[in-house]
Amino acid sequence: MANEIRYTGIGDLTLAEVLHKEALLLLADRTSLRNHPAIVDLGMINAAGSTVEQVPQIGLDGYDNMATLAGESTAISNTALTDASSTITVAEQGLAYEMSDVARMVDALSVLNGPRFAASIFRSAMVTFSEVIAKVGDGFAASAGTTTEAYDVDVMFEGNFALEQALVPGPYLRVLKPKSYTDWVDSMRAEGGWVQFQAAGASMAVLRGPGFKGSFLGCDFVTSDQVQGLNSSADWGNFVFGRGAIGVKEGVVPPSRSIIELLRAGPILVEEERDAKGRSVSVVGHYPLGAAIIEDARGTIELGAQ
Amino acid sequence: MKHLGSRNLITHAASAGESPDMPAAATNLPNLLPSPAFYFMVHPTSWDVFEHSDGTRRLLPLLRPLRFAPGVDGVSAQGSPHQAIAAKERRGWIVIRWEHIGEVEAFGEVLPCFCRKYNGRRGAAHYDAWSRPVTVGNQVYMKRDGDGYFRFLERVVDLLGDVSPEVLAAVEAKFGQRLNRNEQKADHNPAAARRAAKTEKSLEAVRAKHGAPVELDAGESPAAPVDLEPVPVESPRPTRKRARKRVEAAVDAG
Repeated sequence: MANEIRYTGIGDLTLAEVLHKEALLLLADRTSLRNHPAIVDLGMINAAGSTVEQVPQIGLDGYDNMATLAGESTAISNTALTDASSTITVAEQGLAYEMSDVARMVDALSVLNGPRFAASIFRSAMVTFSEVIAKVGDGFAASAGTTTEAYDVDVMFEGNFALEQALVPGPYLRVLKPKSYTDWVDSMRAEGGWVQFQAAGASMAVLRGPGFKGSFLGCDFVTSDQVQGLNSSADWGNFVFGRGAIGVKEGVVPPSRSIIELLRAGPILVEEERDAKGRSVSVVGHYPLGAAIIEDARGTIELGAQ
Repeated sequence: MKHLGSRNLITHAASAGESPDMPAAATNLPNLLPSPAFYFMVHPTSWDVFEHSDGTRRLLPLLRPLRFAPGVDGVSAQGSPHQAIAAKERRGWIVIRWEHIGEVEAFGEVLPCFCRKYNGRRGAAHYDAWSRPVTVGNQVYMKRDGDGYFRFLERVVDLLGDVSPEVLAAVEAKFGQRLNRNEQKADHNPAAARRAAKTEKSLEAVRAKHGAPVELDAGESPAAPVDLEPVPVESPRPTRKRARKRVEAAVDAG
């Protein structure tokens, strides 16, 4: 036998390595907290006259009790109206990718194109929303847990008690660093009793997106890598809050004839820009966003060791 | 294409040139998550027990960063924190700026500021002076100087004053409740037993502490209660007949 055709003998007909025709996503935090009912949507900043808005709060609808009158001729004295406000500032968040013509020309995976990057930027905007919430959320004055101690069921109950004692109305949202969540699950193994964690089923995970872990005692559990470090990197600044604690405000980039829109989803705009001289195409995402603590008493941080 | 003309014929003095920039792939920047610079904030009600490596436990303020992140809690689009500081101070927070503290000691070094900037692959990352990123392989770990941070918190107390007796009582109650909860489960739950032991030590540290005296407002004496004596019954209004008789009597009397 001779002249068999073997892989090792057809070097001019084969390549050392080729690209698989499908790119897999790199591991990343893709949790979105947008649209959770515990976060107050303060609308759009458009036509407001400023990027800074004061959010007024007013002590009505049961804030003041009626005074008991001592006698039938006693005059009813006026009650001072209690008010407060918080400041929210909208800032532009942006993300841009630029692809040269040559790179797009030889793209074997069909990923270097505007629509694919527009979809990607949309997901990045959702993660940015979670990042902004996480940076706001570790600023509550109340705290549960103690520094350098792992997050556990006891800390969770302490956080719940703080909200219940402050009469914070639901829905509640608890945002945990993944490490704190696994510490909590670990501590649950040693707990027995009447309470049951409703883990997110497959369909719920699809509906609520990555990061949603389930509900426990009426509080949604979400893990996010955006949760920030506290106490000189000794702890994670997990937090739990009820509706009215955190508010967000967004903005919409006004339409223009010169914008080549790839995607417009509410406040998120992704446009394409061609640099003819530079022979490249840019995909640019815009997301005007701001978040602030509206009422401090409606939330608490929950320390969990790093 | 441009015509270059005779300018190319001009000769220059020889120089040693500069070292080229490192190729992008070879730069060894750590893969840090970008984060903005920050001040610290203290709330008079937010305290926790911190432990020094020599075993000392002390009730110290639980600091929060006020990050210069545009759009976060009132920080302007340009990253200016002034409006955010005003909003936080209205709610009782005390903002500690870099210049309030000045030099700090961390990892045995004296540093000019408690906020430190590191260049990462995706942009600048800021950490406090007592946290340092260490790259091992392609992973980033944080090295921590817990004792340095403990001493820094003591400086913050020296600067802003100690915990008030009212807050001290609330912290004591919180640790007491935590101790009770964990003691109940300590005999069948080793983790709870460990927590109870640690909480007990923290509680001792809290109880040994005396809150800074504050001037208490004695209030005002309340107004005297409404007189409870029976209200005199008014005589009935005279009828026309009785009124006429009274007039006649007055005329007779002269």
